[in-house]
Amino acid sequence: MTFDEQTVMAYVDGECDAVTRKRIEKAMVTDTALAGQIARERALRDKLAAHYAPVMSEEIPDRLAALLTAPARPDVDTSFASRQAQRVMAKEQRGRGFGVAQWGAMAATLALGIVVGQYGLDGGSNSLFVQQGSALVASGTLERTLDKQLASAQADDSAFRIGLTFRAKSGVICRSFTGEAVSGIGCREGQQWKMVNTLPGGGQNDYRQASSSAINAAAAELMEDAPMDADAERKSLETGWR
Amino acid sequence: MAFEQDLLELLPRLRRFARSLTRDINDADDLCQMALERALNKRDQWQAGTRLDSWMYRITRNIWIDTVRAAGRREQIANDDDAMANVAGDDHQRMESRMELHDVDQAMDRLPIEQREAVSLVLVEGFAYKEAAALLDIPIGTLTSRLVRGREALQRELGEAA
Repeated sequence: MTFDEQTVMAYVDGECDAVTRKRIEKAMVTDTALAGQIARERALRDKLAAHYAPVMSEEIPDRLAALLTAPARPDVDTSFASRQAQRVMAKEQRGRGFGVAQWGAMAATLALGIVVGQYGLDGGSNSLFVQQGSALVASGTLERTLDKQLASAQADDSAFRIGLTFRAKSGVICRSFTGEAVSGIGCREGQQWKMVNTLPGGGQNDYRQASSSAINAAAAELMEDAPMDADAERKSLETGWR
Repeated sequence: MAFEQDLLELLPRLRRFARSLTRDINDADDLCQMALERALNKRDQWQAGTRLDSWMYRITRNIWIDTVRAAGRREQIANDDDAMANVAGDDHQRMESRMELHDVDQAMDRLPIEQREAVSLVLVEGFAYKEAAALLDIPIGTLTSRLVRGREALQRELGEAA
């Protein structure tokens, strides 16, 4: 697999999503050109940082300090409350966007309750899930999709799209899916797909994207290695997802 | 004094930012001075609860752009082959040790301003793409393509010697 420059750059800058990060890290092991490219990008970052770092500890010139040590003006709101608000805000914003941990937490928090409530356990033939003990397993259309559908060959009109197929740290095969009503990850248990993560799906684009990012982040957490490519996915289907 | 105190705490970062934009230490401090003056004059435009650092970086960057444009200075384009050839030419080895302290400054100085500010905010100042793009009022895609081009140019000048 090859990665374009933007992707490699985003990786070095800590800006790429969890799944891509895993893919790159896997590829780096065998792809020496990629590893070299990443090393060069890191070296550049380090070089720039090191070059400008000494400025931080230079003494502030008087002409600049003088501007800021003049008497305070009375017309400014420097109340404790506003400063407190500012500090809290700054602290919240210090984090860089939404990381895996947040998505993971969100995925876990949302999830089962909502989805089951809506698409639930009525036991009818259209149900997407059935309950077995404390576990929720795929049924109906969802089960057929997870059983048969390959990410590399998906019909436009299928109710669910398969995202990633991968082996989890626990050793079982898991597959992520997105749909209008529900998205999630199912992991193989016996002949069934046990739901380990579900989110309301996305009728709307924004939401679909958010839910697919959340699912990908959750998948990255579960994943042992990297997602399967099309060949591995097909072989896995042929051998019953073992 | 709270506002002033916060600015004072920010000042080392602003000086570093200015240094990466202007290369020259005096120009950089002039830029900081103008930025501080403008911030003090427009302090009522800063909203408590929003990030003071982003606001200050934005002011600093805008003044820098104005100054560069006012000076009518022609910024070289990244693929200015002549400039690259001078650096990468036969004299390179001989010049290398002498240039050691300044090669980053020179390489940054050769970048077109759009690439330099992107590189500076992300690689030197450590802003996230989203933050840097917001600060520059450009889409993230524009920011990342400028970063790619800026990095390529820097690699051509600095990568080999590293």
